[in-house]
Amino acid sequence: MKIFKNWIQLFFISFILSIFFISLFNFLVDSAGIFGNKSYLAKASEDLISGKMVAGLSDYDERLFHSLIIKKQKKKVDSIVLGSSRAMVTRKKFISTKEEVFFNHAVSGASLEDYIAIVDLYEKEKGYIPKYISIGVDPWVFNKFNGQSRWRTLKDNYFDLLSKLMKKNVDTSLSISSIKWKQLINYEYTISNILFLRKIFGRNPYYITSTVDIEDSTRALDASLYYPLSYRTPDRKLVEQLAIKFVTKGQVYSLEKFTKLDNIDEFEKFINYLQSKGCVVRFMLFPYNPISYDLLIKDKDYAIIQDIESYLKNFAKNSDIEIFGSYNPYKFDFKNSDFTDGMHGLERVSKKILERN
Amino acid sequence: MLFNSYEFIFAFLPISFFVYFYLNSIRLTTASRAFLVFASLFFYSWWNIVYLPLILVSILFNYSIGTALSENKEHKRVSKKVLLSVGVVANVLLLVYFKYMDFFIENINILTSSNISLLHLALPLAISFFTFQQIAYLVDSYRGETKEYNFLNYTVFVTFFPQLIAGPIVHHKEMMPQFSKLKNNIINYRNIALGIFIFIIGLFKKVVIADTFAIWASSGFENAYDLSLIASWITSLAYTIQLYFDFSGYTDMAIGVGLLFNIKLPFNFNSPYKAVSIQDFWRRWHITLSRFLRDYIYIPLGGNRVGEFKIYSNLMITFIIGGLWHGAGWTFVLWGFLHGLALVVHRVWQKLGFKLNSFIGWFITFNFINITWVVFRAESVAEAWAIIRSMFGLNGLLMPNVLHSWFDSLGFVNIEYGSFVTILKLINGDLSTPLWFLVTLPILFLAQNSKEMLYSFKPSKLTALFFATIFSLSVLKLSGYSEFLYFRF
Repeated sequence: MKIFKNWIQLFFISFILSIFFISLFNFLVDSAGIFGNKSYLAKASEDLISGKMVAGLSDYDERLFHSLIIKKQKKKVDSIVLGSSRAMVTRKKFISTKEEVFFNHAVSGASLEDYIAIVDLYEKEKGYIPKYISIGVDPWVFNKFNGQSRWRTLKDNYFDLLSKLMKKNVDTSLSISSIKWKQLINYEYTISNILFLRKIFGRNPYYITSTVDIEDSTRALDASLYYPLSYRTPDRKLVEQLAIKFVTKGQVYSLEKFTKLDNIDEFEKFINYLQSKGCVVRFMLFPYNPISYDLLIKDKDYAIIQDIESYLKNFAKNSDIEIFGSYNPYKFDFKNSDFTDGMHGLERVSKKILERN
Repeated sequence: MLFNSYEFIFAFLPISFFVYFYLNSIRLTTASRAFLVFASLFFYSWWNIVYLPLILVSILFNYSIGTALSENKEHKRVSKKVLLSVGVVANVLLLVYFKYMDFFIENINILTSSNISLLHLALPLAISFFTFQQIAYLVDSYRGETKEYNFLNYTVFVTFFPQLIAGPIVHHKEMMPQFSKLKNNIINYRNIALGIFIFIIGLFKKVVIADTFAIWASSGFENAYDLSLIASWITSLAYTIQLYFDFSGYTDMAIGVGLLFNIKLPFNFNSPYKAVSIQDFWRRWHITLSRFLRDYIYIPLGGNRVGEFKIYSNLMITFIIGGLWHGAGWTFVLWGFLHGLALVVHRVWQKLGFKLNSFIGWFITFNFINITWVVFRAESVAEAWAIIRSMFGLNGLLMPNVLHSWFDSLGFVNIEYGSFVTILKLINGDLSTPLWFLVTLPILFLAQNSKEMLYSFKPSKLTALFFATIFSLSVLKLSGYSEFLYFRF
């Protein structure tokens, strides 16, 4: 029996030590800046707020970055943008020329949960909701099979406001803190920390820049994104190929199994809530590349995006909400050359749809 | 609660273990059993507490019938039969109501063009397992092979959490004597070491192997109608591998947890993909289900003691029921039918005195299993057919560029070519995908299975370090949500 007892002891000691060292490694490297405010992401958010453009950030938790911006911001924010990567290049100057404090909080693959969570962050951390809220509403927001789960970083905030909106307690069994601490013993996070260490070996994970014309992604002062210079001038033929592949090769981004409009109740309650708090809400519908759009509306599995646009227009009309843009690129004479792929427009697309009305 | 969750591994399991043995150490044996029942019901209710009353009512009902069957004297044979019939029918009706009602309604609607509303009942967790287990108990009580007059013991037998959710389907007579053994009430370091050893093997199988192949299998089935030859084979093989490692991983974990409590659960798998015939396969795959189907359906139907044609029909009936047990759908019926048919063909083959080389037998059996898993996994017969067509090259032959010149030299035309990355993209794969297959398939076909590994386990410093590493890696992989495939059956 003793041999088995010794084996068990050695096993547990080895296991505990290995988990301890892995956790310590993840805690110290912390490539996504999940633990504590001393991370490079916290510093980057401080730099941004203090009026410096930051470049070179990659493979980081965008939601965490925006939550840090909100928490660390001293000035009262008047106007914000919510939305996905399609809304990231929306600049302050497109929305307002006034001297107001503006932030673009668009995050990759944003879903309704992200909109709700970011507004809750403002309300909980700052005690107010910005007056002007421009939402880049993507079609997949109304698809319950959109496969988006990145909002879970802000799960606590999402469930907090959701409980108010739905006037009932909502399941919050997996709290943000538990998600956070589980990252210490998470395989993907360990791998990303190893890759991160390898990548930044001998250099900073981000840097301050005075120009956006560089080969790194740059966060402008309004937190909107400037893609690397070459990405902003893509090869037209390549974009055409990407636009075709976007629809024809495999799954269309977050639009799979999209047979009916979901999340309507939650969405409308959210908008009504913002209006009841005195916010001015605007909808922005960012167009698809015309090549992708043609393929999408011809395909019965994706043609639903037209219904979403009709629904949003109706809802906006009834709720006195200004609506900009359209999923349909032809309404603004956009061409393949205005896009970087099937669904992301160049900066001029954002500018044009917001100038139009 | 999932075995592969932080809650289970770091909270529920250690707490249950220590409380159980603490109560036993102070000679509160009844309290320790009551605690085990409480812990098991807590484990069961973790998903959804609304299922709890159903399992409690089911336990109470079957306990009452079982007790009555055990108490009944021989001369009341008729009333014993009636009692047994009532018990079995009630269990089957419960299963039918929760699991098959919507399936029946859908088919009635199709056949009669009516529009009866579906019930949309939530399938109570583990209902197929605890129903079968209790039917077996009733039949065993009727036959006088077992009896239980203690309600707490009976509840332990049904709810013992390692086997509650997805088996192994155990017999009362193989479980309760183990709980009654006094020496099983004290901590046994040998069993703990063996339990940890096999639990880690199971956890690794599940979170590292099955969950990796699940990505390719799921993506492939989602794109069932667009798969090329290679993609369809990768899809079907990925599911074949996923299902085995998922379910056998679960069983290994269940056996491991059972051992921690000094309870030996039966093995459910014995290298099924090494089987050289379909009969051999069913002796190696989900052994406790096969045992149930044999003892409580096939043999009562007449088994092998009837005419040859009746044997064939008994086999077909048994396997169609086995198919339906897995789920309410025509794909499951078809899967059961195909396996029944294969067993009939195998029997005829044997009857005619033909022999088959082992390798050829294995090759045919494995491919048959692989193809029929497509039917088992598909959402519809049409979807299964689309994948099977692709597997036979009837949906285009997209081949990797590297084979272009070779196929040209062989005179093959009408073949499309693309990069291997393009072919793998539809199943969400990348260049690591073939490597995973290259490593895993030999393990399936050649390596020792967990039962053999358990029997040959020798404690040493090296194995302790090795398994601590494997366990750490598996724990790191726990964060992604993944349910066990057999939970839905």
